[in-house]
Amino acid sequence: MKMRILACCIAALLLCGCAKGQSSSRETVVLSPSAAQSQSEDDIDVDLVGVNSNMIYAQVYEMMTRPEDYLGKTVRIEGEFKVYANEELNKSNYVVLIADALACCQQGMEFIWKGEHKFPDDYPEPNSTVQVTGTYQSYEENGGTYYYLETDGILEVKSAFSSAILKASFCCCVRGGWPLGCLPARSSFLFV
Amino acid sequence: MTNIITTLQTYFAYPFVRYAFIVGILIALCSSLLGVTLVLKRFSFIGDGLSHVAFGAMCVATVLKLSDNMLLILPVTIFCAVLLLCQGQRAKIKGDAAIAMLSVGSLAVGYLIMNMFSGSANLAGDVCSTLFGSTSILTLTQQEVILCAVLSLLVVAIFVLFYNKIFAVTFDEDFARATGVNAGAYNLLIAVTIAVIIVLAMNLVGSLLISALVVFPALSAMRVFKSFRSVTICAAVLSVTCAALGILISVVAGTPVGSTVVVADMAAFAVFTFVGRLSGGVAK
Repeated sequence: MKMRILACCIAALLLCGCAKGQSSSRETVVLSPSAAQSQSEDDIDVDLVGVNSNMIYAQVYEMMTRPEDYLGKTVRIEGEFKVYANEELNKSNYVVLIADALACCQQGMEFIWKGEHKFPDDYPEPNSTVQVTGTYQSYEENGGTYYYLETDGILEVKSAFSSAILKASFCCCVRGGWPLGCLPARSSFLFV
Repeated sequence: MTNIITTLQTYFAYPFVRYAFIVGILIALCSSLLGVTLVLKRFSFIGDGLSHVAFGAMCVATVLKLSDNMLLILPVTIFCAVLLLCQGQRAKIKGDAAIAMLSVGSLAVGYLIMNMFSGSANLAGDVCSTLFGSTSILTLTQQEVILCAVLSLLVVAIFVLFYNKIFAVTFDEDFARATGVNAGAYNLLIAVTIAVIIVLAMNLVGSLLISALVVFPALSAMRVFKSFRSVTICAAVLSVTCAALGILISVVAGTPVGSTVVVADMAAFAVFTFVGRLSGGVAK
């Protein structure tokens, strides 16, 4: 049994090593062709992709507290896609959320996808990683002012690296029992 | 290395990063100066107690929707600092017991009030950020930076101008009183100054980690140096260096700012302990 566990762990580590070479590849699914056209980095005034969570939190906080400096600017943000239903107004708010490791100090940005789109048919799955590029705008609702990104489309980001790890761990678990570190519950942390 | 420098250059283009750096250094400087006095007077944990009081006051101010939380936090914290430090031998509940009561009581009441009455959209985030200081230093406005700078300079000026009296009251209060020093007034001054520093330091490291800013630089300096002046200067330099390093690392690596600064202080303590053992602690 011990040898089986050891063999599975070594196999998982070897597969990790193989997968590492692919870590730079991120597969993106474009949910709107026109979104790809507006992805030129020169057009982006505030780019929150590839920036750590501290900076994203602080930048989005500043955009919320000093919106006059950012209205009309093109912003690119990447994070977890969330949907919040507003039953009072019979609508849904679509948000890109960025959280720190404890998921307590999180910051988000609402976005509105231009055109007629239905949830869940046209939108990505909630909790998936998405990238949104849009213009920072505001709207009034229920006596309050809210800020959002007006976008032409959404990019869904999938990591090939994390997919390889999940496959490796799952294979180990199926063949060799349940070696330490191969429990399916932990694989959800790999989709970061 | 070039990548790190390039990243830092990029991040320092953001005003909130520059503000965080300036305020972080000033807070570290002030807390280290008073930290030596507190450690020697056996009041190391008062930072923790007062920070919890400040947290409780902040919760009440948030629920009351005050335009500026400082209007409530600063007076309440100063009042508790005076209560803890100026009672002396007359207090029925002394020292650590008094600190413990105020500390846990304020924390519990504050969190209870926030849960019952707060309209915040992200209560957990607000509380977490206040307790651990993960990102609050990066969300300062220009006015807050100016206020922090003015208060910090005031604290440094008080320490420099009243250095001899603070020294006398720290080491032997009875002797100081016997030689005509108004020990009560200087204790009050120290109490008010500490309260101001604690409220400022909450922005950098959060309520739970403030004691580290107060204690670690002083203790690290005491491993190597023996005189009050050299310990104070070393503690100040060390605290500023660790705060700067901690902020830079957290900005580049995306780690919580408060915890990173405290870990930097801990590493410095380990280094100074080692150096102290090697040198026998003879440097003056």
